[in-house]
Amino acid sequence: MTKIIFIIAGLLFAGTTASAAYGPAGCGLGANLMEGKSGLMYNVFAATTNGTSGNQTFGMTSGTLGCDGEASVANSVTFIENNKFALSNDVSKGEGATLDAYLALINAPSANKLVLKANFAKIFAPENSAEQIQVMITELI
Amino acid sequence: MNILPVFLFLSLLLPIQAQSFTRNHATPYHATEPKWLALIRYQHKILSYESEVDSPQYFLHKQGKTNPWLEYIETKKQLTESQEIICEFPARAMLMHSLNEINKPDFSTCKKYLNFKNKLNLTAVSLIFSGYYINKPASAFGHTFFRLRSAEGQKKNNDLLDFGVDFNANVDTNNPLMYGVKGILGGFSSNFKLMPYYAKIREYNDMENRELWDYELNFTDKDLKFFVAHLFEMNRALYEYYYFTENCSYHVLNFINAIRPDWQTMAKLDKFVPPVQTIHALYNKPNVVKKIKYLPAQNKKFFKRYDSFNKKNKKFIKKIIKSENFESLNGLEPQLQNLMLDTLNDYYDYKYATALLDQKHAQHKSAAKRKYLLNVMRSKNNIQSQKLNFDSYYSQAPHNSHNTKRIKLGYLNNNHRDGVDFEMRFSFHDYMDRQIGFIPFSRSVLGRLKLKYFEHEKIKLDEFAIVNVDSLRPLHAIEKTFSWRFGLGIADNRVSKNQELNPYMNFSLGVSLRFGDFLVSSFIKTQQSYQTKFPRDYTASIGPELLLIFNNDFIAFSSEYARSLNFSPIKSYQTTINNKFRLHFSKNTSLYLSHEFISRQKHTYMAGTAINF
Repeated sequence: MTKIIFIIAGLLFAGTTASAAYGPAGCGLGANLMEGKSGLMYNVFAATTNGTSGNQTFGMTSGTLGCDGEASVANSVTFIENNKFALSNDVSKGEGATLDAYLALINAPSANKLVLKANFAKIFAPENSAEQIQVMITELI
Repeated sequence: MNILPVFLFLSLLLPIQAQSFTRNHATPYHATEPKWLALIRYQHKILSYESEVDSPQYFLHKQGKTNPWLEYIETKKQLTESQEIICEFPARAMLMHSLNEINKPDFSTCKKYLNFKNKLNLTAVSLIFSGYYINKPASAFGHTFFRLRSAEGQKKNNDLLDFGVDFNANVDTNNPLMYGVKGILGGFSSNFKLMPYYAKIREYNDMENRELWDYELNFTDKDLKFFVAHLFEMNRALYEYYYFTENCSYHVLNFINAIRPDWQTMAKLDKFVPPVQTIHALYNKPNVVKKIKYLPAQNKKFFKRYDSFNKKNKKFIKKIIKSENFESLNGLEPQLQNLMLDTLNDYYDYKYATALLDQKHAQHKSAAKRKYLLNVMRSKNNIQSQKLNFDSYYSQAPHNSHNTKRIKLGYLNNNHRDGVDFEMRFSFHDYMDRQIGFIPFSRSVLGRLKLKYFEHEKIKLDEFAIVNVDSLRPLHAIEKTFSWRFGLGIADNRVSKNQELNPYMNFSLGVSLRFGDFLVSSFIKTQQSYQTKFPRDYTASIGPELLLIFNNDFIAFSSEYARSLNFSPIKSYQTTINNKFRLHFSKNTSLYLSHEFISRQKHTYMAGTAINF
């Protein structure tokens, strides 16, 4: 019996890292948007709380419903950070929903996508940050 | 002292008290109206009401959580007296006005609310069902949340400009056991959260390879305004989270009920709420779902492209993936190069989704470099990408799936003894059920009770499985994944005529191959059990296990063979054979035949009806 109590106690206080396996998804349970403090979810959070980038995304917050109106400024840099590879796919093809959404966010829906396609190697050079990608795109269109 | 008479006496008094209360408080007739009750999330208890919202700031009266009358009166009073309250509770103000309790609310000074409303710019609402993710316990039963179509998204027909609203628990532990216990017993608080919808696409479609089913709701303009106002109020609401009952899907559906109580979407909902049942609850109502849309998971896109190639080109793609050298793509004619590049791009997007999205991931740099090289080549190829057609997937939509509870009742024969076979499965799906809307050849069962009764004997609990999960993932030329099975429960030892329940835990690891509607799996199976009656002992066993399944959604059969070496109490061998047959008449009714054999025991035959409900 003592053995069983020890095993249960051990499990209760284990504090393992297994929770990472649950991740931010799931049926609510296990959704921890701050988990790992990196990647997409953290970027979303950081962008909305002025945590790192100092900018707001297009009006969302992770922890609350974001009822403050100041949060409604679209942030295309955050969009690039969180959709970088989907955006790079679309730019390389010269079409796609991610590229269309980005162009809508920077208020350039009728930009020439083929110009961006032709300059793909420069725009998405591996060392380029989201801000640099943004600058290059806006200069080209 | 016998407390029953006291209890009965008090029970009789309570309704009288409630009645006298309503008379004494200017008869707030609408306080028990479905619209009011749904908005404040009141649940009708035996003799009272209680709101599911747990945060005091959601209520205007200090007894508001348990008293809809007092909350109603206080709401009306404060809305009449205070513009601030109108701004903080716009949905209540709208409702009170529609019930002719207050003048038309003026929101023109409600800066926060108007900013929120303008930010969403709502034109439509969809309920999203994200598919099953069997390798993650919390996601094994699917998930539901909202997509809020913004005016910009509507104009451009682009989901990436929309918002998502999710309901989930605020997890405060890293301990998996505490996580389970708190999740089941309501130890986590939970609330609605707003985020860009692209975050949900990246999370589900890309990182977890889960498809998204989008059910657009038939809301009117008035409903949409009410939806935004109620969502604004939900910023104050915290709930206790119950994984099986008051979970994400329950609260999301309850939100819809608050907007349109006349749809009665909660009316036939069980206490146990797997997300897919909420889809059934919506879809089965006429004129509630406007249209359905499917967003394929990232791996589905890759396999769709890959499967369209001939044998030679498949071999070529495999070679490139293995070598990670893209030079050979340069020599291809543009059309084929285009197809190859798009296929490889989809492959890296699905295979390295997490690494690509997480800059700190060990494989981030190498995955990003491969993507860059491929996309540089793609940018030089001027042929338009081939559009993928997923129309055939619509027949597999979750609303077409079977109900998740199942009862089986039939005839039983063992060693010339006649009996009754009874099984109740509380949730959810196994590979003998119709597979439409579920992961093919999978089993996710929570709570399965099996009883056996033989003439002139007592009813015996044959087995209670707490959990059975089978993740049978067939090997693919590109993807080689292990299959596994896990079971935990208690089972009768079946040797003795008396009930002897022994706890067990099984785990099998192996590989599967799929040939159309057939699946063949082979495993190494381990089992641990504890014999609770004399001679009390712990038993561990290991051995091979073979499983064959056929299921074409009309006929299903499976054959299972296991041979195990028991290490204790004495070294012995045991053979187990299980054959099952099902004939499906509809998605929820079928006939079953089964045969079971365990070494040193007699054969058991069963036949009967299985009904999902």
